[in-house]
Order: sequence, then structure tokens, then C-alpha cells
Amino acid sequence: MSKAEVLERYIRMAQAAGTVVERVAKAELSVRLAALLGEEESSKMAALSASGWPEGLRESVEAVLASCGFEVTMARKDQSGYSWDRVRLGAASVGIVWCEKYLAETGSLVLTTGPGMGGLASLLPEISIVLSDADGCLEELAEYLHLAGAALPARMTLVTGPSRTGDIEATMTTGVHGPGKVVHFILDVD
Amino acid sequence: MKISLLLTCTADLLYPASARASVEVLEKLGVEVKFPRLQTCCGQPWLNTGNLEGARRLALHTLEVFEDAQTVVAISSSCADTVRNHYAELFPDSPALRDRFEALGQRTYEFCQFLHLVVGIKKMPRHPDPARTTYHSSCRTLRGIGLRGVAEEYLAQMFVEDFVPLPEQETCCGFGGSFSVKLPEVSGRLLADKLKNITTTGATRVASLDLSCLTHLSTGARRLGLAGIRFLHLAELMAGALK
Amino acid sequence: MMKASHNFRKASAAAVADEVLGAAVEKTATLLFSGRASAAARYPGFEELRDWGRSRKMEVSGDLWRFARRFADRLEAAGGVAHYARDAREAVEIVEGIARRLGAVSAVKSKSMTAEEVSLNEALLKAGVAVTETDLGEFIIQLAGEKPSHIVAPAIHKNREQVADLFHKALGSPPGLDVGGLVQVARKTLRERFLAADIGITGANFAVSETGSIAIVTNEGNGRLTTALPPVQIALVGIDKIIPKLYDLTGILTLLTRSATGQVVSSYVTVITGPRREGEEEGPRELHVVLLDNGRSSLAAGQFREMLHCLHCGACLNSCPVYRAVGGHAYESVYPGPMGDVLSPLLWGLDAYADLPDACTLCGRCAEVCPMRIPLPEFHRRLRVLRTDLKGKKAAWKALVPAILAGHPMLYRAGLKGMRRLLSSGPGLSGLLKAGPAKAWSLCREAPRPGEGPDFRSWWEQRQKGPKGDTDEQG
Ligand code: SF4
Repeated sequence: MSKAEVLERYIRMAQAAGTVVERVAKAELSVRLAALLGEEESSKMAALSASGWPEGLRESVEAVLASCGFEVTMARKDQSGYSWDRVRLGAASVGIVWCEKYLAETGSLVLTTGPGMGGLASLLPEISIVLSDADGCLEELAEYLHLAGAALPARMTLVTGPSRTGDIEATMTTGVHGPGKVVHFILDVD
Repeated sequence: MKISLLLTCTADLLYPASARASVEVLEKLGVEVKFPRLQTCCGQPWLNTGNLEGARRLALHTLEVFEDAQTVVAISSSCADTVRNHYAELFPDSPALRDRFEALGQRTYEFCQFLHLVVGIKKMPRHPDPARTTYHSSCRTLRGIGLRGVAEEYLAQMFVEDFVPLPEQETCCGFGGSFSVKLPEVSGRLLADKLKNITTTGATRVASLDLSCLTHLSTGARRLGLAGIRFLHLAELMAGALK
Repeated sequence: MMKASHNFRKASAAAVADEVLGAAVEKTATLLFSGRASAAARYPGFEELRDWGRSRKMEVSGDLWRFARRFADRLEAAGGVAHYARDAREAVEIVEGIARRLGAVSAVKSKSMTAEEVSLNEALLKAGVAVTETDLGEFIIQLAGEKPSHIVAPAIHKNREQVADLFHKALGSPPGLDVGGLVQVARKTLRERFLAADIGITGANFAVSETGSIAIVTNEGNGRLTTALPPVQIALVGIDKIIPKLYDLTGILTLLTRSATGQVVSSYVTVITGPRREGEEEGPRELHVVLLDNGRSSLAAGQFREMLHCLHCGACLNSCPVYRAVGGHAYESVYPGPMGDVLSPLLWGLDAYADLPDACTLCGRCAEVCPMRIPLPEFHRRLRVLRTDLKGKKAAWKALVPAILAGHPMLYRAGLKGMRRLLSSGPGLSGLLKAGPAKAWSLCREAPRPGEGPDFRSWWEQRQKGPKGDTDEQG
């Protein structure tokens, strides 16, 4: 499978799992992100992962958030490492994180822990926005595990679509504990 | 081709017409039928209730009666399944016996399976007396001896559009041997569901390859006063079509 | 957990009569069952994958403790703490000990059948720790004061109206909420508990021997929250949950999720390797894994070894005509349906669950769907054999006599003749129907009637004599 086909497959599978996938040119990201945030009616608090971002990207995301009237909360670093302001984090309606690798076979994002990686930002708010590069797409989990080798993070989560439950009359309902909406922006390099 | 008929105790007791029809069909299709008179029961009731000693005795008796037979044809799926798939494991400590039982199992067939696999019957003529017909594919036919779609194909040839497949046909009818009397309430519930599916087809005939299921279904239908439905072994319909 | 005198006939008869229950179970089981069927069909090579999965688990069940010990070593190397529990009591004591040392008062719990197996909630409650179930289905039944009735969909027996009513009474939510509304109520209520909890309690779907990792699979995300927010995590893991290598996760996950719900993968699969690391802002500071034996290693040594391969996917429940007719509670065990019929007597004794091996028509559907190809119908048969052995000589003899008679051609024929006569005559039969199996039979069926015409043997003989007067050479 060519790289493009693998990416195609990821998009198909992720969409089937309920993830909203948008491919955007890097230059357009701000506009598209602002459009998405503009629809957001609830609290104007966004949780952001502090680290893991490619050069300069976090700052441009923060700028978009500010222009849309969002306050930003991030895990703060002190001597004992990173920690969240739980109150602000709890108030966030949107969470934005960077995701290095994602898997075509199942349409899954691979989120890993590390100082400032901000996993809670993709878990607690109602809306989870995830940003990746187009070339972060892998075919399957086996490939990821091969790449990761012995360097397993403390926690690695495959996220595939929104949080959902079928526990009442097998009626699929989203947003039971985690986000009810997952939006994945895939950035094209050009 | 010569076969020895494994009558099964259910047919022996309750279904003489099915047995007669099986013989007629086999002969009509050029098969020579023998009937070893010393045969009794295959021992399935003991096998399924955990009385291995009883099952072994009857397995040994059946082996004795049928060991010289070239091919054995049983006219009920669950009995064919017992001989084919369960005899050998009754004798884990005797490799010699295991081999003999495995050999017996390999040349034992259920009636319809035999026609399909060994005789190679591809087509059944139209039945002269069409009536809406459905088919109960018993669990042992499907998952015991692994026969899927064959009886349906024959029925469709005999009855064309009067053959109506049974909804939820892979679901158990709730007989289950001792199950039918150990948990009669659950058995009755599954029976009622099955009969409901049967009545929705509007069929007046229900064919099957498993005589125990037929007993359970027909006596249940009688309890509910479903007088217009007949429960038959597939051979009976084939005998009619081949006349 | 143990039931002194479980009576499945009585319980199942009551369950069959409950129409609301029947409809609710049937609806969900049907959905899950057809989901599984299409997910398996859409995956090329699913059958081969089942064989592969079975072979991986065979490797583990062949040497359970070696894999378990290696798991424990790797877990500790990653900073976790491994505990060994021989039985339910030890497991509970270990967890209580940790809770007491921490002075914990509240815990959130992600669904764990293993915790149910050792009755952990009850024990923690006595130790002063309030445990909140966070899986929506488990939360519902916890509020209702009931037990799970399905290993994957614990509240399968409840309909929406019943849940709305329950939330209204227990949580003060507005009456008559729809499913979406109910889910929001649960989200709000449970979020607070997550944030306040001293301990997160989980099971594990898999424990990876090679890396000391545990994997937790959920759709709701409660598994992820339970392992991200509380400062301490305790995972209760049956040693049968071990898989050899991290790589094995890829195939086994596929088998699990496709078999359980028909999903390609569940929404969240979290692989945890040790506690929170330096500088990180989420995850527990202490990670304890309690490796539970509770009869598993003795299972591994016997004829039911393959039960240890069970993924707890629930596919066998959804396929089982008996489970679908009666729901889970009638089994009076955390493990209902086909896998429970086998596991409950093995874990808690055949005397406690003497009639569960009978809760099976031997229809074979469960074996057809079980991702691990566990021969469940055959296991029911074997348990019936064990039960016969337990019942002693007299009962065995009583069952054997008819077999001896049936094995004797003349006696068999005479017996059949008598039966035929009895069944053909009205009055003789009605006497028979008043007792024993005949009475049970007649609960929903008439007595069988021998078919019209001559019996087969007479017909055959007549025919053999034929015009030439030959007789059958055999006999
Ligand atoms: S026995 Fe098989 S089908 Fe049943 S829960 Fe276990 S793995 Fe699933």
C-alpha cells in the first residue's frame, strides 16, 4: 500500500468509528480551527498539552484560541514536574493535543504519556481536537509496536472515535465519560 | 452401492414411515439397503447425560453390529453425529478401539448427507403434491455433521416457490435430549419461539433430518392445537417426489 | 459468591415468565450477535486468527506461573508492585491492606469480572471504602442493588424506562429521560467521583508477560479515566489474562472486540506499563497488580484447561438459546451463559452449581462463535460425567441398567414394543404423565404417538420374505 492509500484507509476507518477527520494545509489550519471553535457555545476554556508539539505549532494554536475568546489551561511545570490546575481543566470544554502516530487498520490515534503530553486534555473535555502530520500515519498497531521497541511509555492509549456506550438498550450514545466529539486535523506538509 | 441402515431407536419407536421412506428413496436411487436386525440404540442419551459406561456399552454393541458394513446410513442427524464424532473419544485408553470407532465414524453418514456426498444426487424432481413446506435445520445437522443448505436445495427443487426457508433457522428448537425434561420451562419457551417462526411461514409441512427435534416440535404443535401442520422426515417428501 | 443450593430450573422458569426481561435481553443479545457475525465475516482470515489466538493462549496455559512470574518481574522493573493471591480471600485482603495504608475512603472502579468473582466491592465497603462502578451498565446495576447479568453488557436486562426511573429515584434526575439524557446524568455524577477518588480499581483484559504491561479495553473511556486520575491504581488480574508478548496484543485485541461487540476496535485501549513517570501529569503514583489464582492453576492441569483461554468476550452468551431465554441472573453467578455453566462449577464446586451443566441443549452455537475455540458443549458433557461420578455407584448403576437392556437386541425390541403400546393407548399414558420426566415433558408437549402403519421391523421382514420368500441373511 502506498502512503496515500494508507492515509485514505485511516480516514475511512476513523470516520467509520465516528472521528471527524479534516485534511488541511498547514497554512489553513488557523482558519479551520477558528471555524470549528466558533461553533463551540459552551465554556470558553480550552485545555492544551504543554509538550510534544512541533516547532511553533502550539503557539499558533494558542493564538487562534485567543482570537476566538478562549482561555487556555496547560499543565504547569515546577520542580516535581508537570501538573494540571484541576479546576481550570475541569472547566474546559475543548481539549487540543498533538498526536505523533495514528493507525490506518483501525482508525486509531496513538496517544502516549510523557511530561507535559497532556493526555487529560484529550480525555476530560467534551470536544477533543487532535492535530497530526500527514506522514504520521502507520498501517497497523504491529508497525507502531515495532517502532516503539522497548521504549514503552507508562501509558499508551489507542483512541478510536468518541467515548461511547451501548449499555442502555444497546442504543449507541456518545460522550459518556470522555469526549463526545473527536476532530482530527491532518496537516499536509506543503 | 450397499449401505447398512442405522434405523435409530427414535425411528424404531415412533417413525416407521420415515424409515420406510428412507429405504424407498435409497433403493430408487440405486442403493442397496441392508438392515442389520441386531441393532438397538446408538447410546446418545447416555453420552449426553454423562453416563459414559452406558454410552460405551451401546457404542460397542453398535460397533459389533455395523463393523462389517461398507457404509452406514443413519436416518437421524444426532445419531449420525454420535457415531461420527463422539464414539472414538469414549475410549481414550484403547488406541485399538479408537481406531475401529474412527473407521466406523468415517463410513457413517446421515441420510441426506449420504445422498449428497456419496451418491452425488444433484437434483430432485418436482413433488406431485405441492404444499407450502419449510425446513427445520437441526443443530446437529448444522453443527454436528456439518450439513448446511443441502436439504434446502432439495426442497427447493421439489417444491419450487412453495418452499419457504424458516426464519432464525440456525437457532435451537429447545429439545436438547435430557434438556427437554430437565428444564422444561426453557425448553418450552424455545419450542414456542420455533413454532411461531414456523407458523409465520404459513407452511403446512415441516421437514427435518432430525427425528428428535421432530418429536419435540410435533408434540408441541399438538399441544398448541396447530392441527394443520405436518412434521416429516425429508425422506418422506423425497419418496413422494420420486414415485 | 458461592451458592449453597442453586436451583437453575426454578430460577430459569421464573426468568422465562418475565416478558420485559426476555425482550430486553433478546434485543441486545441479537444486536451483539449479529454485530459479531458481520465483523467476523468482514475480517479476512478471521478463522486463522482464531487458531493463532488459541495457540498463543495454549502456550500460556501450558505454563501459567512461569508467564505470571515473568509478568511480575517486568512490572516491578517498570516501577509497579506485584502481589500474588491464591484465592478470593487473599485478593481481598491485599486490596484492603493497600486501602487501609492509604486511609482511602473512596474508589472508582472500571468494570472487572475478576473483582466480581472475589466480591471486592462488598469487602471494601466493610473496610470503609465507598466504591463507585463507572461503567455505565455496572453503575446502573450498582444503583439498583443488583448483580451484572452479562459479562460485557451488565445491565442487558433493563430497559430505558427502568433506568430512567432508577436515576430519578437514586440521583434525582428528571423523570422519563431518554438515553442521551441518562448518559449525561451519569457523566456528571461519575466525573465528580473520578476526580475525588483515592483509588482506581480495574481488572485487565490482558497482561503482557514480556513487558509487565496491562491492557484495559473500554468504549466509554472509564478505563482510561480510572487509570489516569486517582493517585493509586489497583488492578485485579486473573493469571489467565496473560499473553506472552506485546505483539500478541494486535491479534488478540481484534479477536476480542470483533467477538464482543462487532467493533473493529473499542474506543479506548490503554496499555499501562508501570506507574506515572517522573515529570508526568497523569497516571497513578502507585500501581499495584494483584495476580489472582483462585483455582486457575489447578484448571490448567486438567481437562478443562482451555477455559483459561476465555477472553470474556460474551459471544457465547449472545449465541446461547438458553441465556437469551433466561438472561443472566438465573445463573446466580458472575459468569452466566455457556462459559459460566462451565466456569461456575469449576471455580465454586459442582455441588454448588450442580445443575448448570444441564443449562445447555448442546446446540453447538457457542463453540462456533468462541474466538478461542473453547469446546464449550463438550465441556458441558464432561461436567455431566464428573457429576455422575460424584453421585456415586448407586445412581450410576441406575443409569446403566437401561443401557444394558438397550444393548441386548431382544430385550430392546421387547421394551420398544411395550413402549409403543403404551404410547398408542390413551389411558396407560395419562398415568405416566403424572410423574418424573414424563410430567416435565407434558408441561408444553403432548405425548409422542408412534406413526401410522406397521412398525419398521415388521415391514422390513415382510418385504424381505417378498414373493420369493427370501429372508434377510443378516440378523
Ligand atoms: S468462552 Fe469464548 S465466547 Fe464465551 S466469553 Fe469466553 S472467549 Fe468469549
